[in-house]
Order: sequence, then structure tokens, then C-alpha cells
Amino acid sequence: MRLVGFGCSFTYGSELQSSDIDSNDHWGNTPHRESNVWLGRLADKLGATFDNRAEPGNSNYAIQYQFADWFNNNRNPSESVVVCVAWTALPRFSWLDDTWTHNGTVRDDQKFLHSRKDWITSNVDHIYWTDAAKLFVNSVCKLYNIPILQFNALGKHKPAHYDNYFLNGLTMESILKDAQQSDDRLDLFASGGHPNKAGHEYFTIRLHDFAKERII
Amino acid sequence: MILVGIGCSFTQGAGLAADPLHSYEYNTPYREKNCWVGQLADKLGQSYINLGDGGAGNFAIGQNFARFINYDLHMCDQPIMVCVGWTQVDRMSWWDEEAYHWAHSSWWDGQGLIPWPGLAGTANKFENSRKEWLLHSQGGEGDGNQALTDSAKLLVNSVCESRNIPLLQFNALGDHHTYHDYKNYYLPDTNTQDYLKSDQLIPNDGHPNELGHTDIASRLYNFVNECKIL
Repeated sequence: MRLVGFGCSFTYGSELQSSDIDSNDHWGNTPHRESNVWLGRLADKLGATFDNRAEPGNSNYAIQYQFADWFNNNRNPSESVVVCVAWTALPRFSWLDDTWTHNGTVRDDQKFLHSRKDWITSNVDHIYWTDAAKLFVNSVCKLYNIPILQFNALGKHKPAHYDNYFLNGLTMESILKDAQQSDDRLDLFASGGHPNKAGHEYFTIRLHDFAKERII
Repeated sequence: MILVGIGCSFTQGAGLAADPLHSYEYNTPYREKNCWVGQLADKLGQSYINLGDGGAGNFAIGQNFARFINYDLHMCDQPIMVCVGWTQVDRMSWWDEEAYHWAHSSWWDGQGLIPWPGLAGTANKFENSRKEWLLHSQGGEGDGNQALTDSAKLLVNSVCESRNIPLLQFNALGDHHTYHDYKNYYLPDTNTQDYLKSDQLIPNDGHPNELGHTDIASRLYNFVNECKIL
């Protein structure tokens, strides 16, 4: 079984840096990052492999199209997969050329700078894009009998009526913050606000129980 | 049963007017009744909602469909049948929350001008977005926005099939390639320009006239019966 993961930096594994690898060696750190982020930890607990398709700064809008790209171009229908989606913050958007550019990562010298400005001034209610993305991913999975496991990594999401939605209405970030507040011995975040190795493990233990109960 | 028509200007019924000297709003009842959605609903003895949006690309068609399903479907007091007229692949759209409608790339002409003054207000907000889209993202029929079209088709087909919502679809405009063997797709390798004759089109406009819409509706009506969609 393979877990195919989609999401933002919380799924990418931002700030999961191996102490044995130079912090400038981003690609050399990839195995450490991917094996310690929640997707890799969950795959390990389930005895599965994983395909991590997350991007830092990702939007739910882009997640929809990254999922479609996997489904249309990379999916092997004979392979047993579970689609794993960690939905991200609502006020995000992305633009596509050869790769995705996300509104949080646009810099003054980069393309789509004006698109970002126009988007910020013209979109007040960002819920449309997230609701459309959830409708899309869940409908495709349902129609093609692809098991899905999903939760909110970040953002203010209204409770959704879709299948296998872990901690519906809450977020990975809020769960870890609540855990830290209730037990000051816990240290679940890296300095930049992403879950650290312990944070991913804490969350994955609970997600694993949910996955076993609902899917596996 | 309510037919929910989604598409571009061909679904909106662009150019159809009881009195061209009157406003767009004045002509709306005539336009919607004589457009293919209205004519098909009449042949089938059903009611209809026309969500056609002049200039929309398949990206906007998919988003308009999602919004209808997410926010409006619960208000329908009857089952629905979704009817989609897919359009050209090389189009993009930008959502204007304040005006509550899209700005479409097809509003601009080849010289980068907006021929319709009424649309300029919204369009001007996205002039720079459009330039960046032209520079970085727009592709031809075979690439670029093809991903947006593929996703829109996958969205509409998956939602309808997974919820047992009858779906009728055809290509109003554009050259189409589909990854999947979608159901109830009338002539998926052609579009209306392949079969509508010159006397079925509005002169110097390219949109179907009343006769053109009758032709489309008749073809779709026969297809609905052949495929037993209802």
C-alpha cells in the first residue's frame, strides 16, 4: 500500500532538519524530512510506502490541481493507495506555469507579483477555493473507490461532511498547541512554527488510530 | 427535474435578443428561453436554470459548477440534471468578489482592448494578472490551460456520477482531448462549429442564432433519449 500525500509545509516537513546534514543541503535532508513528517511516520506505522507531493506555501486551490495531476498522469489504478490530504489555510492562492508559485512565496523579483496583488484586493471570501478543492478531491476518490484520509493542517475550516475527516473542524496546529498548553513538558514546534519531529510523532499516533479504525 | 445549464456565451445565449435596442436585462427572458438550455428543457417538459457566463473558460465553468453544488443545490426543490457546454481550452478567469462575477481573458481582444465598455471596470482590475497569465501560463490547445480543462471535466463528472446526478455534456467551442471516457458526452471530438451552418449563426458574431440553438437542442434531445439519460 502507498500513501499519496498532498498538503502544505506541514506535510512537506518544513523545519525537519537532520543534525547530521548541513542545513544548506536541502536535498540531502529530504530522506530525513520525508521520513519524519506525519506522512512518513504514518506510512511507517502502517507498513506502507509513501509519495509526498506537498509543497511549502501550498494553497488548497493548488492541492486540487496537484491531486488532479497525480490522478490523470501518475496514478496506477492497479496499485493500492490511500490519498492523504492535509488541508491548509484558506487565504492562500497559487499560480501555475512550469511549477506552482504560491502567494506566500512570491517575492518582488518573481513572476506573478501583480497576480498576487490583484488576488489580494479582489478576493474577500476565500472559502470558495477551499470548498471547491474539497468537493473535487472527495468526489474523485469516492467515484473511483480510492480511500481518503484527510484533516486540516492549518486554517479556520468549517466542519466538513466528507468521509474520513480526522478531527473535523480542528487543525493539526491547534491540536499540538492545545497539547503543549495542557502539558508544559511537551515541545512540539520548531522555532519557525512548524511541527518538530516530536510534534509530527504526537499527531501521527492519533492519526494512526483513526486510520486503523476508519480505513485500514 | 431542473436542467442546470453551465457554460460560456453559447450557453448564456449571447446575441439572442427580442429587441437588440433594449438592455441585456430586458432581453434575459427571451435569451434564456431561446438558448439551447431553455429549448432543451421545453422539449423535455422540464424547468431550467441558466448559469451560462459569457467569456467563461473551462476553469470558470468548473468553479461555477462547484459553487452551485456547494451553496445553491440545497435550495432546489426538485432533482437536477447538469448540462455543460464546454468551451475553448485557452481561457482563464479571475474572480472579482466586489462585483461578484468573473473577469474572463476572452473579454480582451487581440490588441489587448476591451470592446465592451460595461466590462471594462472589472477587467481593468485584472489587467496585470492577465499580462502575467499570458506571459507565464497560457498555453495552446494542447498544453498550458489543458490541465485546467481536464480538472474541470474531472470535477463535474466525478461529482455528478458519485451523487447520481444526471449529466449531459458537449463541446460548444474548442478542440478537446479527454483523459477519461466520460458518460453522456455528445460528440466529444467535435464542437458546435463543426455542425452549425452559416444561417444558424448570428452574422459577424459567431454565436448561434435562434435556429442554431434549436439545432443544438434537437441534437441533445435525441442524445438524451438515445442514452436514456433521464
